[in-house]
Amino acid sequence: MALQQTATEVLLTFRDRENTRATTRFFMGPPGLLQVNAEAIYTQARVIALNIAALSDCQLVEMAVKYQDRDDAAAGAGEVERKGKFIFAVAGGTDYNTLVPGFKDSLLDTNQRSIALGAGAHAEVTAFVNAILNGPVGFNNGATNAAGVSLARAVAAFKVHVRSLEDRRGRSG
Amino acid sequence: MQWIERLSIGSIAFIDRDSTIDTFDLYFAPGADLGALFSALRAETAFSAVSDCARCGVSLTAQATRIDEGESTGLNLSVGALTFQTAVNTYGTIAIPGISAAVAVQTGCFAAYALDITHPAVVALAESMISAGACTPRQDVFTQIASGTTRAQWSPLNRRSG
Repeated sequence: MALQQTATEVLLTFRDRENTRATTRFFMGPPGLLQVNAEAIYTQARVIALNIAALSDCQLVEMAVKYQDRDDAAAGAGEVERKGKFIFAVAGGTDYNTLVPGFKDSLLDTNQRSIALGAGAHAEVTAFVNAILNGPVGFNNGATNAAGVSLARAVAAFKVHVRSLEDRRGRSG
Repeated sequence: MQWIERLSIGSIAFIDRDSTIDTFDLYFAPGADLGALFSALRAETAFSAVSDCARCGVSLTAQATRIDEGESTGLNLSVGALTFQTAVNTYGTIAIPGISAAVAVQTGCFAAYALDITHPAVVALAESMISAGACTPRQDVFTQIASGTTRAQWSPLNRRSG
């Protein structure tokens, strides 16, 4: 089953006179076929946000608009705790790390730990790195680090396991 | 009124064989066309192709911060709630932290206060939401105001007196 459009969520953060933050939210329609209404929704959400702020003695300080699609029929596989960790050099700044849930064992090196980059890399890994550096196909603008600085290149990649938040039933593997 | 656009967060959700969900997140610089970016994230295959888990969701969160906010005079413990009726006779409510006394009206019953749904500011909010197609999480579209209430909310903080 394919992704289904769900309502767009708008989250507003208010700050009161004691600097305590509170949030409220409302929903708007999905951005439509080919997401043509995404910008319009964002603009309308801002108008509504200010109208809500006009009713409050607290100050509106932040707004977030979340477009979201879901595939409830997706059949789970793999284990999300088995991560592929990718380290990217940043154009001036500390390295940026990202984790891929359920990284495929078949894309690991023969030592089952490292992930080859560059010349000896699997095609899927190269495509993944390029999609981060250049942006996904159709969007010619790459990802950044949390400070908004562009990523320059992938410098290392390897497998890591993270602790599970779930109570896994007894099963090895 | 000044806003600063912040980084957008693209997120691909993966579900594993135990139905545990985790996300792969990416930051994108502000100023991007949100529709184009969300379309690209929906259509991506490069991120999903390196995972054994199944892609079960995609989201894009655009964020902005207000930089000219003045002084808060209220407490967010006083909450207004504006309830809308939808086209399919369900109801949806939006909460308003720190509701202003200017838009409250005394009901006479135990000196309780309600939200004055005839107040111009409340009407302006309702009209902006209805015309923009605001809805419930199940996408039932708001058609009219149903009621307005106010309440005091328990505080998670250790409030000092006054």
